[in-house]
Amino acid sequence: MKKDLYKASDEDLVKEILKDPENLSFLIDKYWQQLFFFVRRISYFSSEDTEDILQEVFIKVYKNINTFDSSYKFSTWIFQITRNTTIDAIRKKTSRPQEFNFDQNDLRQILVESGIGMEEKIINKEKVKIVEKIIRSLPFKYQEVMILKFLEEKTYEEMVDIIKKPKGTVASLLNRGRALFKKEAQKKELI
Amino acid sequence: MTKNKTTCEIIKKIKKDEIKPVPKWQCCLFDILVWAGVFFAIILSSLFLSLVMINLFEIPFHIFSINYFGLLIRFLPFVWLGLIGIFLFLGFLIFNKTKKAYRYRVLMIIAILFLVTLLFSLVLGRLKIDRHIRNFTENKIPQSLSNRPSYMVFCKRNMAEEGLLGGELMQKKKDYLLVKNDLNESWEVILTPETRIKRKANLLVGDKILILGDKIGVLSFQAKVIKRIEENKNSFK
Repeated sequence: MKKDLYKASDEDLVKEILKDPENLSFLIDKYWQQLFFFVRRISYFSSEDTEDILQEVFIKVYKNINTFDSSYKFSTWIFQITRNTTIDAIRKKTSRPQEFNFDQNDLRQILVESGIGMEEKIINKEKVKIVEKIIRSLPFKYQEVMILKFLEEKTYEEMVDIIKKPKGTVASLLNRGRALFKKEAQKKELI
Repeated sequence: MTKNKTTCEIIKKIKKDEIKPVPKWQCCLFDILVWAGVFFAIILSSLFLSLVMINLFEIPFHIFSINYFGLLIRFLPFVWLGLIGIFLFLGFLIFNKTKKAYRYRVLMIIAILFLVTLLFSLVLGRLKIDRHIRNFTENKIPQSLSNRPSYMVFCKRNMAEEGLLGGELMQKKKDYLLVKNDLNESWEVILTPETRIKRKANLLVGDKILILGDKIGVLSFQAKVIKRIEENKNSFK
């Protein structure tokens, strides 16, 4: 009978996966949704493309499971692999489907968490679209840190390990991203 | 495609392609090799830095006051400096392959590498390893690129063609000096109204002096600047 590992810690899951690759299914169940939204948020990929990316991610996780360093959080490590795989996929894809993957709640959360101070003004669909466009027009490096911080709710330490940049750089990317967003929002008279 | 279907596909693919996790020893070996590479690069750049230091410390620094940039360029050991640069850069590149290198700023990594290199070079200097290397390479690398001449070298070698003469003052006249170097060559040094004697030093017979000027004959030299070297300077050791 298959062992129930739904309540197992990530470290225990890693040990069980090494014993039997079938146990990878517990890890997939645990992280699928989180990673699915993360990939969708940092890319323009469709659901099918995102699933392909995640398939590649979990195979990479299995292949490199011995390189996992327990001084990291497992979730940080898996986000790091997902981010790198997504960036590789973005680079490979020459034509991107122009499909935005933020929902209204995501946008509201970014605005609330980033303290930009315009969340109460997002009342109609038209304005939501403008906000979405502003976020999407930001360079990828700013978008990425804003998503990790305000949507995935990662700490600075986790962000440092996911995007592999020093803490100071992460903090300045976040501040610059926020400032750029504010500037664009002012131009579009949203603030 | 549903999540369950994808899960099945992932596991099926792992089994079908016989994908196996990278063995733990392979990951450890990689880490060890990377750190060994960093260490190796630091040790080599430390060695070259210690060679630069012994060369520069043997030069009587006050001669730079005569023609700072010109002489500084002449005294720089370019081979060792170039090798320090290459191995520090290599160390930096290899360090970036370590697991947590991304947590540190580039400037911080460079500063730490340089400080560690400096520390090791002092240790190597203390152990006199640098001197053994210099003696070993002395005749293999052109002197103009590696071992720059110190005051002792001015005395031991005939560098008059290059405008440098060093030795002991044997005789002193109003418009000329007689200087003997360690090669037992006696040089007639012509003094002109333009000849400068640094700090108006009162030259005495027996003084060790350094002269910058031009060779004008077989054992004849026209002085532009004369500097008396004090006995307690490092350059005399």
